Amino acid sequence: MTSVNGPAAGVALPKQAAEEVGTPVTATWTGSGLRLCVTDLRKTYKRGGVVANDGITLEVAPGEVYGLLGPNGAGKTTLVKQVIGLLKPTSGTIHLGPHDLVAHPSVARQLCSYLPQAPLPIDALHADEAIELTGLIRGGEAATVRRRTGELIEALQLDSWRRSLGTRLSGGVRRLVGFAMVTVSPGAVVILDEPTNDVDPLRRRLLWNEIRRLGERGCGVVLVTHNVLEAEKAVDRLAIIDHGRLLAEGTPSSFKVESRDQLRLHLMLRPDAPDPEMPGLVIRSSRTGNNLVAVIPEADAAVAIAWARNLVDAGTAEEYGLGATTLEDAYIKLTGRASLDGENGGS
Amino acid sequence: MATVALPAATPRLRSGPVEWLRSCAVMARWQLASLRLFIPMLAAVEVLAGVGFVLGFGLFFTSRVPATSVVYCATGVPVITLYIVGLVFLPQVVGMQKLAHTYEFLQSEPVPRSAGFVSWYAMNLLVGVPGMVASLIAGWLRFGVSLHVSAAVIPATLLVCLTSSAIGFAMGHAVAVPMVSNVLAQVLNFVAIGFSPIAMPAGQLPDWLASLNRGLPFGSMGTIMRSALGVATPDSVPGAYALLAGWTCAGLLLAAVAVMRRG
Repeated sequence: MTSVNGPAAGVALPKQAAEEVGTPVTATWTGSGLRLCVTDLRKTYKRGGVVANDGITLEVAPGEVYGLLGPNGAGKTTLVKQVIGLLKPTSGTIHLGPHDLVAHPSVARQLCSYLPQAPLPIDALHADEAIELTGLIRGGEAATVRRRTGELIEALQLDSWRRSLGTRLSGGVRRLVGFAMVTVSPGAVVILDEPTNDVDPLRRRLLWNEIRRLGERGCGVVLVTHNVLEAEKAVDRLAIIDHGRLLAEGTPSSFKVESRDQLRLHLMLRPDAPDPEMPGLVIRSSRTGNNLVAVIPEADAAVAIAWARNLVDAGTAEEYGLGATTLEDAYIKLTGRASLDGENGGS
Repeated sequence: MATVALPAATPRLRSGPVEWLRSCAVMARWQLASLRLFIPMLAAVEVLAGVGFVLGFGLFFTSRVPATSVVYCATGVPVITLYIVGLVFLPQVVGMQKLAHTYEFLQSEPVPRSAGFVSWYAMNLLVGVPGMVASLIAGWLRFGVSLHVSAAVIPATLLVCLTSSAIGFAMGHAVAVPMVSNVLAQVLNFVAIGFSPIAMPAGQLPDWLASLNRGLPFGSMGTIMRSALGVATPDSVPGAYALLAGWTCAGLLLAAVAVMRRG
């Protein structure tokens, strides 16, 4: 990540996010496993006739960490709920290896682990008890489950809360306990819906390590998120979904091929500052709150910096940063919207 | 960083009676642990309510309580303490799970749906039986009712709990709006206590209400319990068992459709 900071403190959130996520993923699984194949999946809700999934086709290989990105309401959660057997597709097929998951939802529940976005019912359970019981429910052997519960608690640094009741856990710790619950005896496919919500940066990094370890051990991991910056570093491949359709699919790098000779200029505007007039060199721009991101040709970097500095001097902007384009830029291009990072001020 | 040894990436598919029993046992553990903050309180309320109902019943009468009323009270209140967990508390908890958005996680657990019901049934017995015993003792102490407890009290207790759990389980899962299932449970409880021949003879009810009750499960719950406690009953005991079996099957069928339904 290259980053050139303006006069004020650097606005290099991509770098910070990269540190949280850790090193890029390399799947090492070479053994056998079950491939998840979703083919031409359509889901129209009877109530309201909303088309949530409109012909989605994708595959997740054993050992692969696969990201599902998209804005709220894009159809990501509907898609994974059909995989786990909570919803029935209107048409299309879902297979995990030889198993037809649409016809046999009980098989789907056994072979897939699911961490929903909603809170887990652990108010009256001790953290280690919740993890261990879920492992047993998932069919794990008692001794193995007990050992792995201890290991997960150590790996996620949850030891201080091991015997705490769920009611006494913070949102982030509850989320980590939930992650441990669904991965203590993981299925062939592990579906994680926004697993890092509420988790602090330190443990977020530990969580990503464990997610990668699931992949390394042969689990297919489906990661539902709208946190593009984290996904960029954590997944092997990803799909961007919007309005129920799969807009694009590939590795994080492949999304940035088109923009290799482009840079992103991030401006932190003063509160309530109007949109500044864009110079002609700006290829596209988006504003979320006070964050303005403009994609520019690499050759025009000097001109762009001069423009940004003028905005700072004029008091329109507080600071600026220049860096390589990210997956976020491809995401904006495809969906027309900034991701969660954009909303939070990432550049 | 700790090294975590993962199990095989492809878990084996589990089926068969042994796995079903294992699932029931572990779901019962989950249920008891999840409700550990409620269960002691609920059991205490059951005991107090059962005893209080028996003692309070006598206050309705200014003079000596009629013998028939005494017998119906002493044998009916234990039935109320048995059904109330399944019929009222169970749908409320399922409704709370829906409102708290924890319902889907529980539905995604890899256990047979029937294991979830069995765990509820076990909890119904655990909480209901102490209240039933306490109300029987209270009836004996307050009114001096002489009951002859036969072995039939076991199947009667099991069936009353089973029927109420099945109906409550069906309501909780089949009714989409938690508020509606909660109100429905309260209405049923109100009807059972005030307008059914559990704690009063059917002859004291208007004819139309007595006729209606012949198809409802509450009177039959009272009939099989009175019979098991050595009280002569004008109604057919085998018929009452059959009616409750029918309600249990209907409740389980509706519950099965509801929990296996995918939106």
